[in-house]
Amino acid sequence: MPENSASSAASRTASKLPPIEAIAVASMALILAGGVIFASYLPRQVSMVQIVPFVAAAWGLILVNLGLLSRLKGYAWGTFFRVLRWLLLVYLTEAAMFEFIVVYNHARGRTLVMLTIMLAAFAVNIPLLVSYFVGRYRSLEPS
Amino acid sequence: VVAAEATIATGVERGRGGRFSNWVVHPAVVPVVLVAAALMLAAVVSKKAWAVDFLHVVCGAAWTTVDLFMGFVIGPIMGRMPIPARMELSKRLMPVMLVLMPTLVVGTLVGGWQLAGMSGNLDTSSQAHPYVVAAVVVVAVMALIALAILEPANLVILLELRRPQPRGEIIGTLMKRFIYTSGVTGAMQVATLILMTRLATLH
Repeated sequence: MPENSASSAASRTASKLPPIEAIAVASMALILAGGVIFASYLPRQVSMVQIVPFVAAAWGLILVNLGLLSRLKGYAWGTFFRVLRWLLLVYLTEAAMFEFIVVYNHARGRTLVMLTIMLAAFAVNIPLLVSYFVGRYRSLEPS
Repeated sequence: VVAAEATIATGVERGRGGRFSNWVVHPAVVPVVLVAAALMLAAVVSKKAWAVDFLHVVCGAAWTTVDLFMGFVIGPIMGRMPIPARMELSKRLMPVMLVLMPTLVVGTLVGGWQLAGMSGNLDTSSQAHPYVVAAVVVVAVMALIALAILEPANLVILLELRRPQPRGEIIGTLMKRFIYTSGVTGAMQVATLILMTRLATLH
């Protein structure tokens, strides 16, 4: 198959996939918005009324993405999981470093819990997004 | 820490060539990044203002400079190069960026947060507090672009370039992401420079 027609076929297949990437970006934006709210309050106790909707929506979108991912057929799952495991290692380590800084700076109670939940969302969301993206392009290989 | 990312493609691409020939980034960089991470944590726990300031300034300055240089110098030059030369440059440049940039970003954020806390700039009563919040907003925008838009494209392009016959259309489509976002990233980096110099001269 010529490369151009293979790529066109790939583009058509890509357009049929669910909007996992867009949902992951939205989730990431919510996490970052929550981070900005935190920064505007610290070192005072952050208002949970303001922060919980962002965190809940971010996790909600991550769960939606997991649901959409589980329904994919003909997807390069091997590639997805190989990339995912390394990225999880990277981002969980990064999140652990940030968590250490937060704890080291005496964050306690609800603030610590919410920051931990946000860092966990960060550490799960980005690997999912990148792994899905790589797997998507690997799925589009011409046979 | 972040160098583990260098091994992401190992599993994907293993099976061709020598021991490390299929690694996107040579594993020798892993200890270098681990040392960098250890130095970051050492600077924080030392509670020495100089060490934290050094970490933040060195990593932050490198991050800003590399970002602006890539977006406004290397990017346009690459755009005028013949496609095979562009691919060769990308094949060598992107693995370096894959390791370098996350390391610089983590160092900048860890150092910056610690420095803001030590200098009292995190306190809402501090006159520097609005600048700190503005800096967090700028970093949030840059993080969204780097992690959610550019990183997936970077990895796919890297893997594509390692194929015997890279699919030019896919590489071309994904490279457009770098072009479209370079303006926003450039504006955010200039905003960072303004905010940081303002912060440094407030007291």
